Amino acid sequence: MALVLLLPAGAAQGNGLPRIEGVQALAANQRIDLTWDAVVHPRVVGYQVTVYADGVSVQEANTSQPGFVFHGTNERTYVFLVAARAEDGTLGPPSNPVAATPRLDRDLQYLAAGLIATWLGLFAYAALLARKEARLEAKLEQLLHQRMEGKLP
Amino acid sequence: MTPGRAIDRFLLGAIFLGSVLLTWLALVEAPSFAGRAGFTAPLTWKLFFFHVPIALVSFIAFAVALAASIQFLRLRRFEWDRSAQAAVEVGVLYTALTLVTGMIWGRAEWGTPWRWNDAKLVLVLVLFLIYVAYLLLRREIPDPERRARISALYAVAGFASVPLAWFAQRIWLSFHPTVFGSEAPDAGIVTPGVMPIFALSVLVFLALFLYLYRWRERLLQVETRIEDLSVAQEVVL
Repeated sequence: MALVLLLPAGAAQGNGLPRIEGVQALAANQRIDLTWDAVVHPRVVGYQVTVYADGVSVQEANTSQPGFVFHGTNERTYVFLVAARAEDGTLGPPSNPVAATPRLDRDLQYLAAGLIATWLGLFAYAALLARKEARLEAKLEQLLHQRMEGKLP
Repeated sequence: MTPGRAIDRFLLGAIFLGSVLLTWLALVEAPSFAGRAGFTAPLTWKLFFFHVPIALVSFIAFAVALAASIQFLRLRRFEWDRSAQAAVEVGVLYTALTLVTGMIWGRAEWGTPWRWNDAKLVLVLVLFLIYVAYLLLRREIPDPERRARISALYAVAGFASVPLAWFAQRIWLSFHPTVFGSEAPDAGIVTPGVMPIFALSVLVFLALFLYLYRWRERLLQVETRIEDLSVAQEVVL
């Protein structure tokens, strides 16, 4: 798919602000979670994320954290560019573009897995305690019997 | 039947009925799609009714262990040591369930079960490992007096990890939803229809904790009695 990517408004090359590296997009149901390497730079106060779909900018968002959650339509591909932002609004060079497509994946199976894990975990622990109780009661009975026979003080 | 056993049986019956009701309400009555920020998987979000109360009760379990450990350090009575151990053991089980249900939810919601750059997840894992280490530490100290004293000090220090884990997503970078509090970004999920199911879930998992905790404490008491009788036997032989 050919994508026409536009630089975020105001982006400038060579203005001293660093390029954002390590951008990763994780797609799930109706959302894409974006993360990138945090920048430590005296002028950088945050980041600007620009989201494109079909070559057109669909969202621009500012964030102070090195992460962003984008809510979009399933089965539609989105491309993300992240740039460092200075206090006066100046933007650094954009990151390499990263694409992702949200989709709904095995929702019911995950719910079932969560419920089974919960009840099975609790039941397994209770079964473990019941087994331990039986063993301890047998041992205690044996020791008390020995005491009654005078083998123990 | 002793009064203690009668209470336990009543508790067990109430827990069973509550669990059935809770599962039915969460699966059938709760809306199938929350449609709010932080909860987009239409069905898996219902794990919220299990994951959050279990996590909440695990923190209560560690608070019980803290109180019991302080009592042991003050009074040097071994029942407080047993109480702390039982609370930690059930707390560790609950934390394990919190992690597992959270990872399943994360896989559906985020597309990945784990994120090392999420402070909340990492701190809950650290909390889990701290209390697993408490249980392992106990096994390594044979002298009961020394074991109880060191374990109590460890439990008091280890409790610092509980508030850190609870508030992590409000302090550091986290993708974990923040649901409670008027300013919470995902507060919209707690609609009037959701709250009663959530409250029932807290009650069920709290009652289950109490049941398992009392049971484990009773077994630890029997273990102590057996230890005492075994020592007496060794002395005779």
